[in-house]
Amino acid sequence: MIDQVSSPGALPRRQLLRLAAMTAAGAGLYPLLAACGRGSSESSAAASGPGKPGGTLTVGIPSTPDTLDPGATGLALTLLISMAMFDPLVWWLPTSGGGSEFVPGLAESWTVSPDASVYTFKLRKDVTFHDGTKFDATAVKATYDHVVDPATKSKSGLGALGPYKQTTIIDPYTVEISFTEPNAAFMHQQAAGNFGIASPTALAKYGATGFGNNPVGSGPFKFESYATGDRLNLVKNPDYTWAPSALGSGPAMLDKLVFRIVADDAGRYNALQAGQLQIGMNLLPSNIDASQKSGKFTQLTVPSIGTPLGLPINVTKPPTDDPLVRQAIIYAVDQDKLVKDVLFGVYKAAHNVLTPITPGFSQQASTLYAYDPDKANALLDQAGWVKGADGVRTKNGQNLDLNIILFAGGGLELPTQFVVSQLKKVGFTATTTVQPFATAQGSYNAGQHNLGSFGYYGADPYLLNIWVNSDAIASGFNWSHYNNPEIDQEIGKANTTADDAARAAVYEQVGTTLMRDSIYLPLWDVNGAFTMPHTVKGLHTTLNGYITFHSATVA
Amino acid sequence: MTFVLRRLASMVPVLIGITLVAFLLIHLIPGDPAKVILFGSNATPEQIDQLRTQLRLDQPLWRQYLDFLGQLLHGDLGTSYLTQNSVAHELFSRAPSTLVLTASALLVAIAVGVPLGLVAGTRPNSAFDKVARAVSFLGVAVPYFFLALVMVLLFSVNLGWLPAIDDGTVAGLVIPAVSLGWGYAAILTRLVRGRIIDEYRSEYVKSARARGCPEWRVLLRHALRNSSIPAITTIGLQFGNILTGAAITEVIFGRAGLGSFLATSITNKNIPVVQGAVVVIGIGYVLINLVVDVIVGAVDPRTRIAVGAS
Amino acid sequence: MTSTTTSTIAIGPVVVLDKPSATTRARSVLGRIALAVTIVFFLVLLVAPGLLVHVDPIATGDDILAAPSAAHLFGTDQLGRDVFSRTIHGAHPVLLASLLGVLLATVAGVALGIAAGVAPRWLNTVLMRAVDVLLALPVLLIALMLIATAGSGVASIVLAIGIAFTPGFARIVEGSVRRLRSAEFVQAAYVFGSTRLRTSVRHLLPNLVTEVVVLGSSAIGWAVLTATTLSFLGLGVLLPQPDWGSDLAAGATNLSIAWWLSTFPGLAITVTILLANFSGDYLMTLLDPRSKARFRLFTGGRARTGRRVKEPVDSEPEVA
Repeated sequence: MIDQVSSPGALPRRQLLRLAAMTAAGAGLYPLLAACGRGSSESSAAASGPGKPGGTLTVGIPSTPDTLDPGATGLALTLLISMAMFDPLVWWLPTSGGGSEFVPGLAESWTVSPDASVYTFKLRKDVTFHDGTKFDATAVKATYDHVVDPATKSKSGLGALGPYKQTTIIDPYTVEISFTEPNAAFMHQQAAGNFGIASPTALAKYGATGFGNNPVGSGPFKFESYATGDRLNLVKNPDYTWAPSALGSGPAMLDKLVFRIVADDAGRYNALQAGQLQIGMNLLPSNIDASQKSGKFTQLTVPSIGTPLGLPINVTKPPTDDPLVRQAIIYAVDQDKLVKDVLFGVYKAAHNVLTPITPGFSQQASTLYAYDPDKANALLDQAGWVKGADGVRTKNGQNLDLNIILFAGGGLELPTQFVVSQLKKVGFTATTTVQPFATAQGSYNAGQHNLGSFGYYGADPYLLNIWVNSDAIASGFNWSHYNNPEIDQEIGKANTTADDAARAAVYEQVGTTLMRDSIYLPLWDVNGAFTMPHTVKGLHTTLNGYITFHSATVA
Repeated sequence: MTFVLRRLASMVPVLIGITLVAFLLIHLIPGDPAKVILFGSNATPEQIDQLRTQLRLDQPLWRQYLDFLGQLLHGDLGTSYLTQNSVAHELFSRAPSTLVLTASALLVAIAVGVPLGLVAGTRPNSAFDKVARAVSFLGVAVPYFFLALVMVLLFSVNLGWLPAIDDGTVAGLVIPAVSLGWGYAAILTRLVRGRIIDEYRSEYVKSARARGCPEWRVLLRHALRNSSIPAITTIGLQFGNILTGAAITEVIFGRAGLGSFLATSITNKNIPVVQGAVVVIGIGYVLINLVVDVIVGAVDPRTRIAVGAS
Repeated sequence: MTSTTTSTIAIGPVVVLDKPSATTRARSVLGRIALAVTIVFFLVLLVAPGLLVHVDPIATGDDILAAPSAAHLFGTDQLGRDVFSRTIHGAHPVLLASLLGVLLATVAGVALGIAAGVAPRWLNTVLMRAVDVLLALPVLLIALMLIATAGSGVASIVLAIGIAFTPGFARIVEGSVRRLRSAEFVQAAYVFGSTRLRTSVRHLLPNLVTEVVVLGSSAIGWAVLTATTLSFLGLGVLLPQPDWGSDLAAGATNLSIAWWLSTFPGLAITVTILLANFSGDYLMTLLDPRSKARFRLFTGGRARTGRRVKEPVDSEPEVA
């Protein structure tokens, strides 16, 4: 149950390579989410201060949604859009103290069975969908059944739902969602955007895939029109009175909300400066830096649950099959300098397999490695790699050479060159190739790389299951080719533990083991980055690195 | 009319060839579409195999190609792997944008290139000619993507005169059209200039002048007419190039067009979309060259006979 | 189109040869200099870029995004690498891909053109339709598919340029061959029992050499543009090796804060294409028998084309 990969690019999952590849080497630069930096403090500024109602807010987004159906999408970005059109049963929102809390959405209250396999929701009675359909238990059942319907061809929703058994209507306003085995991640997953409740009338009318072109929810904004690959127009839902108080009260302030697809990273900043956009999403760090220096823009960087962006280290292909070599790689790279020099200090250096706001984040794992090139050299000496006169290490006539494969549009091109320059200092040589996503996926599964590129963004630490499970080597995301049955078991155990603290403790232990086994070179934490003129106010952040527009204003 | 029909008929094998080449190429690309489609759904290997069967990807290649041709005959381009929408819908919603971009780029090319070449050609080695030649030399040499970036920075970001990304207005089309059309304007300048010089040296222009035909008439009736032929033909031959340029321009200016869409689809191995796009490109190529032939035929009837015979 | 009667030639990815204005002595000296400069320039950049710059183009430094100065003539990039060194070394993949790509297209185009030109009518039709197919496929499509299949690297770009440029060459060569075949000396060879293959090798090829050299040299400018377009998209590039197209793209996002990043690769591409085109034009005036013939005609002399064919009055259209 993860969802979305934020593939180190803005191109999360599938659509990778947004036009991307196209925009090439440099233009596709870093991606999507990246971690907070200067942002968080300003986030309150953007979130506070009411502005005037009315007007249109145009958001420049980096890739084309695959579908507008949150239950079917494979693209994380779709969730930013769907959260404006749909409501979940229960919201999961950040609190001012840096924590998080569940807040009633379409459900007034809920209970979880002790083994975390049955979830019961009491529903609101005053909610109406955009098409006039009354909201009740039928809608909840229709939504969840729609996700698991093979005809829907659901991607991340299906993955996020896990061992779904069924939805049972207890009475018109009570519904029970059950799983074939314990699924402790579900409360997080149901809030992350994939399970916005859909109008059952519209689902029946447009069909499993047609709904993606005609989304009907109950959220603050209604679907108006979509020019494929170009722009999505939403209008205010005047009847919206069921907003959680944390996000706003009553209908949206804006009259219109427009999502404009601009794949080119520099293009979004240009358009923001030219006044064609009011929010530029995931601008390049250099542009974010310039926008802040200009004094004309507010920056909102929203930490996300998931893994940092980084390079998975293949534990089966020489020379990285040697743990000493893998450790040397992690010691040799100075993430703080990378962030300062290459990312303009916009994001935060990462030293872990999970981002700090992710439940189960292990502080201990973060302290395992600190930049230490001497240590890296010592480890390589110990591993038998001898430094030659040219600075390159060799063993048995072989150079200490790494094959690095990135996928196009992933945005790691420049950071990886920085990494290579640091690895070179301790005696590595490296070749870096950039492949189209479908090709890279094949290369990773086949284990042709020593270092790949990765970054995943999910709603719950159970995402580790998709990432490091031995089942995911041949066709999944286990691009480190890490095969450790004990870890598989531990992660499975965590997801059957209903108690949050106990669950987190298991994940912390897993995280520490993964870092100790040096299967990942983390680079920086994943964040959603939103740049806007000072006039844009009233945005609220979510735990998946996004923002909500319930009380946004443009004037 | 028969001329047009014959030309159309002769293009059918070309169309089939184009689809065949694209079909083979896209299938050569490593990567499993089923895996790409199920990316992130936590699918088991069995589910992946099942999807592969469902998409008929387990069939022999020739079988898949025949299926595709069969579908095509029924006007069905299939369903996009990524969006589950019909490929026809995906393509036709993006085609107008590409059409508008390429047409306006060509318009820029013709509006600038032809007059420049005309005047330069009638006055070879004059100061004007020298400037025109220098400009056209530069026009071919400055990469359009670089020109586009510089123009956006100058006119959109710094001066605020023009939109930085497509906004559906004519103003938003100016930078993309000028940057993309500029190089072709340079080509046309050189072509037209060269032909005009040739024509002015030809016997019939000399004799027309000897008959006391006014200079503007010589220019328009004889010289321009004949020099337009290579210009028009070149545009037809430039089809593939212009599409490549359009793809990049579309990305830079956030235009939802065919070129950038095709590129994304190739990298995602979205087979139905690539095949569909190639069919559309093939038809576009055939039609443009037909139009070119018809125009050239109208300008110079001799070629019609020659083409008919070949 | 009557490509061969004028010096204006359009092939696939177009090649346009300028109409040389009066071939004065001064101009020919200028052309000779341009050609010499181009050859030396290309050779040094390809073989020994180290002669021009001693800094390692991939060595990173702490001086990040430094403006051009005495220490760094073209400034430094985001990783503190010397842009001057990257610009010099970045020529290698571009020139290699362009020159080899054009060479490949020339060989393939000439072979295909001659084959089609001497083939029986049905085979000619098949071959020329195949050429049409290639002509319709955008180079970007070919390149993307090749790179997805064969991986990054100059080889894929060479192949893409080769495939993209072949149909244009083939068309022109085919047209010329058909004209030559009707020429008296070739007819005579047939009468004396010469076989098709023998005829093409012995008689047609030498007559085509000039045309091919002119075509090839003038296609280089377009090949450079094509190669950099592809690397601008990040295609075929092997990081962190410098490449004009990918460096230009990488710098483009910082154009407003560090103009030097994109500007120098951009200028390098421009200068290279200018030099290539200028030399191409000069070669054409130098080698093209027709333009020489015409030149002599206009200067009152009688064209001596030796065994070459007479200048056709008008030729059949190219678009078939």
